[in-house]
Amino acid sequence: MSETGLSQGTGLELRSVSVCYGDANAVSQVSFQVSPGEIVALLGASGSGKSSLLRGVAGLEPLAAGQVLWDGQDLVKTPTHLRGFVLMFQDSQLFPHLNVSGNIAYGINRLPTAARQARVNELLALVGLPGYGKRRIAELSGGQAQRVALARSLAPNPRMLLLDEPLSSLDRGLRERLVAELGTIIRSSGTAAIYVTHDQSEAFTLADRVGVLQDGQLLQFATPDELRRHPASDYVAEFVHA
Amino acid sequence: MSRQQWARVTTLGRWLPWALTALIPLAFLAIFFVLPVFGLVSRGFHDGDTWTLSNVTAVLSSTRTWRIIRQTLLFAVSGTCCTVLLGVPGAYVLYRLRLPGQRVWRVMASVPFVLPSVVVGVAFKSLLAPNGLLGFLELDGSPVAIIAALVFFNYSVVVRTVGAFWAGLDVKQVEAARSLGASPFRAFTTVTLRALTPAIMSAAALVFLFCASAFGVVLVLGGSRYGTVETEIWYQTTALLNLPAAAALSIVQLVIVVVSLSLSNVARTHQERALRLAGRTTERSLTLTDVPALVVTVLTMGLLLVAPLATLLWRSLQTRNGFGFGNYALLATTANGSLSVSVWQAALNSLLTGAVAMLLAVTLGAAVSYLLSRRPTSIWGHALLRSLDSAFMLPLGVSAVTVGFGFLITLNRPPLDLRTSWVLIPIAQAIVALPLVVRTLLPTWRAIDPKLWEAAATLGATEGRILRTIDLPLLLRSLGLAVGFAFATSLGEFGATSFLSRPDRPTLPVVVYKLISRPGVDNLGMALAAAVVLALLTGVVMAVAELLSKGEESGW
Repeated sequence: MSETGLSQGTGLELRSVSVCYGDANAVSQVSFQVSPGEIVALLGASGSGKSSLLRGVAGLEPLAAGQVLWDGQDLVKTPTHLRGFVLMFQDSQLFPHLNVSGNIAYGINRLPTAARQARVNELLALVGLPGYGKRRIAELSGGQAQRVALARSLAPNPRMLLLDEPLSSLDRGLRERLVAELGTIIRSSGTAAIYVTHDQSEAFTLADRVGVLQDGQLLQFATPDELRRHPASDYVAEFVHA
Repeated sequence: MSRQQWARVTTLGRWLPWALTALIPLAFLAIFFVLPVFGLVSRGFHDGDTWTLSNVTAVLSSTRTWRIIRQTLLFAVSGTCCTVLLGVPGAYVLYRLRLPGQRVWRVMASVPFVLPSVVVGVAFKSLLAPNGLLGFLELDGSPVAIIAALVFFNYSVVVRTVGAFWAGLDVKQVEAARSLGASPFRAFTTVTLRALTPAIMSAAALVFLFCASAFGVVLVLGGSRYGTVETEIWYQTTALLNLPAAAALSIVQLVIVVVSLSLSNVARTHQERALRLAGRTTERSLTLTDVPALVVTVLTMGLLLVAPLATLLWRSLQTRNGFGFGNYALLATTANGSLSVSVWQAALNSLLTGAVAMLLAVTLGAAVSYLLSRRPTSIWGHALLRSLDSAFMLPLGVSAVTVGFGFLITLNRPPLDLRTSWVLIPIAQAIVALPLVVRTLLPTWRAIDPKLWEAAATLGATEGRILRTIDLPLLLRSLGLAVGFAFATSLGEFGATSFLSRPDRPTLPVVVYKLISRPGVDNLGMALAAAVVLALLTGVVMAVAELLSKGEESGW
């Protein structure tokens, strides 16, 4: 379905990425790869550096060291808006002055009007909110806002979807229902994704591979199965079985 | 999306717009503010041949100067204290209570701030004159009249600043204090007042600044007995032609301003830091404990805000032939030749210069606010923005008189000989309005969550598109207000304009002052009518700006 999703390239590669805030090292020397169409979860407690890493990939934080490559091409000097990585925030960050359609159409403003409207409707159907286009943002519930945010993120067929704890502001029941749905939607779009979370069940439900972070270090990067069976350290074991 | 879109952009392409956004307002400020003020200051230390302190020492050793400084500080301190004491209850009533017609009350309280100083002076004069409504108090020409006019002007500064902050205060804090056993009074003093202090301090510093540099009202109400450093500069320049003394006085004024501005800066950063903590807001309905605050506010607004303006309107309708529009009919004349143009022509001049000044101030102010609303990650960027912030606030304090006077003595030789050009007036007015525009736009711009920009950027929007599609729609209301403020203050600007206005193209405030300072019933009547016209023009400008900026935003 998406041109970029079917890319035959190597996808995303992080080489020894470090992110600093002043003197504090938020992320140090992290390396891993995300293949096209793959969903990777970054799991860690708050303050482990997972969100900083995601912002570094998006180009919203400058890297202190290392490289971010797409299909082997270094993106470090590419500004955020040209990277084609869409970031979805914990608190939706929908534009309050636009309605639902306006938000979803934001990233596809170059399409002709008819095609744009068709794409908006297609995405509204995909996230289970058909007919919501004219709604104002203030009228949406928390769960609906996150669905709209997901639709907005997928609309431009991004090369990669970056999700920063997208469900953590929702209540538990809703979160459990949405996490499976989110996985299905992302997979059906064929987009590669990095999913940041502190919840191991979310990570294991969604991801093909999971990276466990502590104090900015990547402790282990493996499939859920492998993590459960061969945790690299006591910390990983404890976190995975929480 | 095409592959080419992922192409890199050059470093120059990214930095050039930023550099221009910073450089153009900075160049404007340097040429039309720093240069004139610096020229003026150096004139105070220079007697034509050599550098000398003799001008300054001569001015500082004269008893007249110290009397003027004492009066300036007296007016500023008592004006500030009274404004704060009356304004804080006003902020509570207008922003914390649920009252019928709340919007009308708030607009009413904020009108005086934009009224031209000459109008306010004339209005208080007509209220306190022996045959005026409050004539029996015998306050005409007294310091009390000047202080009352200063309170009139600055009441809305305190009400708006403190009120907006108070409305955003989280009531849960007070609820927590009450549940811990604090009485309402103790909860107020230990929680609410504590939280409000930065806002009150910030407003007080600003009011002090405005009072210390008040010009028009003091000139009209003080007569020859009372003056401030501002009016003294004007007097030394225009009446005595003593430029070195005026320059030395400008230095004194500069010292007063820099001190109070740095105090206000400290208070302001505290406030903005605190504002981010604001939470749920609620207005509550009236209870018995609110009665004192309500009474104070109603009295203040009735006696101090409404009475002078009502008297002005009433007396403008009294002619030598009884009640009628005779004074307004005279506005088409030149007052038996004592004016160079008719009052209507002067009003047209005012509108034209005001519009040009507004365009300049809003364009530059928007560019400055854009820069100041960014949040740089590096320490250097942060320090740079802080100093830019202070630089663009300077014109707020440096008196309009100093600016006008500075223009006169520095922009009079090549390469910049603008002395005979009418653009000098809108430029001076824009300099005076610029800080106001920045102060109106910046808080809203800073309140936009940077994550909205980040979300837009990851969706592929360029800096320019983010500005157009995210910032602009969210700023529309403040932008409308800034346009109104800039236009209204430029219309009524008197301090700088009184130096620069040319005989054949006077503005309306200049004409009002000319008329009020001439004897004769007709001159007074015309002055009152012209003041009403000026007040109406200003009011209409503000109302239109409010209406235009209120439109509901549509989808896309």
